[in-house]
Amino acid sequence: VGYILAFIAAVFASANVVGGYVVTERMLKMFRRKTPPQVQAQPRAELDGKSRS
Amino acid sequence: MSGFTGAIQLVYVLAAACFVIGLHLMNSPATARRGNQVSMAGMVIAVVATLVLLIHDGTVTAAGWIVMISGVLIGSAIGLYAARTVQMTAMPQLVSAFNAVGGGAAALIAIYGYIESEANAGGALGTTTVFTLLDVIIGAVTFSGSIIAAGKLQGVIGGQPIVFKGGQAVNVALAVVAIGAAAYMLTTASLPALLVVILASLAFGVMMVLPIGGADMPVVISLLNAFTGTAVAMAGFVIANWALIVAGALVGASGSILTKLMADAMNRSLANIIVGGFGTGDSAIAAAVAADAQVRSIAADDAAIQLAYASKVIIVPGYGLAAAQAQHGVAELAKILEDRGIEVSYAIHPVAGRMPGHMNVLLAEANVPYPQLREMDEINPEFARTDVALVIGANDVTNPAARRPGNDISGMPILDVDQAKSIIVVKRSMGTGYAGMENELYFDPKTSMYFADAKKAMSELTAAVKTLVG
Repeated sequence: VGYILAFIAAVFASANVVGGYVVTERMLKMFRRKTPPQVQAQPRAELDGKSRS
Repeated sequence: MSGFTGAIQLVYVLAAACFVIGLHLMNSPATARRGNQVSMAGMVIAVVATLVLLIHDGTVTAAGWIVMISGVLIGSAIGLYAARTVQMTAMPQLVSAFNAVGGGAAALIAIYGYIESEANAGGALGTTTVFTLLDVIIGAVTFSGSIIAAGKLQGVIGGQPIVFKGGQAVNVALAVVAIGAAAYMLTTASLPALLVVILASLAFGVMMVLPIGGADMPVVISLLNAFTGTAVAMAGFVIANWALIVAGALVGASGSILTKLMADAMNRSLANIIVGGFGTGDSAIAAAVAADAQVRSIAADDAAIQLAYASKVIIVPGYGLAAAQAQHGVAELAKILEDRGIEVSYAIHPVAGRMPGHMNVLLAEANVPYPQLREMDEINPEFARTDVALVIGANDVTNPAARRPGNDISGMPILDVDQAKSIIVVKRSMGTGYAGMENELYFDPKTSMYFADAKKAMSELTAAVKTLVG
């Protein structure tokens, strides 16, 4: 039983720590002071296409 | 304390300093990313120091290492995958799921420790037991409560408050059972009692979150986050690891402060939020909306004219924007207006959306520069000199009824949208918001209602503005 508990605890804790930091980094990466020119290409192009048609 | 353990403790202090500095850097969007990295570095330092300590002590068996390493690898892979692939609109669920595993891990540490020492000759009695019990109770409540919260946010469980007769009595009974069994364990070592504590705490977590409705979720997520931190700090006491205590205490304290701020932003006490959703009490709904009050609806072309010839526009996003995934659409519209020299900003209510900072993250995803996102207190004085306030999927946080006493949202700080010269509300229907009351703003003669899904409305408005100003 001890090993099973330890295993689950290790899975949970590392998922929390690794996932937490990575997802925070992903969210923060999006915060910008100015709109960058190239990065927005995909969603913008899609919307442009829709709204012009 | 030998020289070696002393050195490890010093390294833990270094890690703790990284956590504190990292948190401090999170205060501003300009330095937040560096803050996260500093905090991450602190975590790496703490983990490495702990591994060195374990290797030095040589108490971990070969099987123990295999269990630990495989667990960490699998957990890291799951966490990494979830964090990389999650849609920005599904972020509240993921945050809640991370809370669940954090609380679960903390509880398991205490449970494991208890079972281990139970098997030893001396039994499981001792001073650590109080921390053990608190760890198990808080961790288990966080685990099951966060799973229910994530289920509600994902839509697996209905977002409406689930309230049933005797629910409060069941909660009290569960709390009494959990605490009673825990108190019993202080004087008598007992594995069955531990099981009772675990089960009662898990059930309490479920019962605690079920009656809480969707719009209260930002507060609940923040509260469960504070719980996770507290449970982790308790786990730190259980295994006498200072780095864990400091990390947990920081999360617990910052989570508690955030929870308080968010509850204040709804002018409701935490107890009131936990006890249940709006309109479940006996307070009468007292909106001053006459039975024959008319709302004015508006078409895309007319709304586009108002927007295109304004000089200052404030966009008020709410949960409807997130639900319709209209963040890219609104950013596109704002861009066109800005290109015409119109001043565009976004008014962010502290509890807009389904988690703390939900609107900020969504709009950042759509490349909206963060200086355009303005907090409630900062932007409220600006509504009076605003030509058009464009409300997208926000409801209760704009209801002027909050300024009057005697209704469900009385005293809740609101965005002063009604001060703007003209107001356009994008909304799918006249349906009421979470508080279940009519929004007086919609009946204001200055207000026009644009009935459409937020995403569709944004592309129609963008097209109309483009045609208009060609």
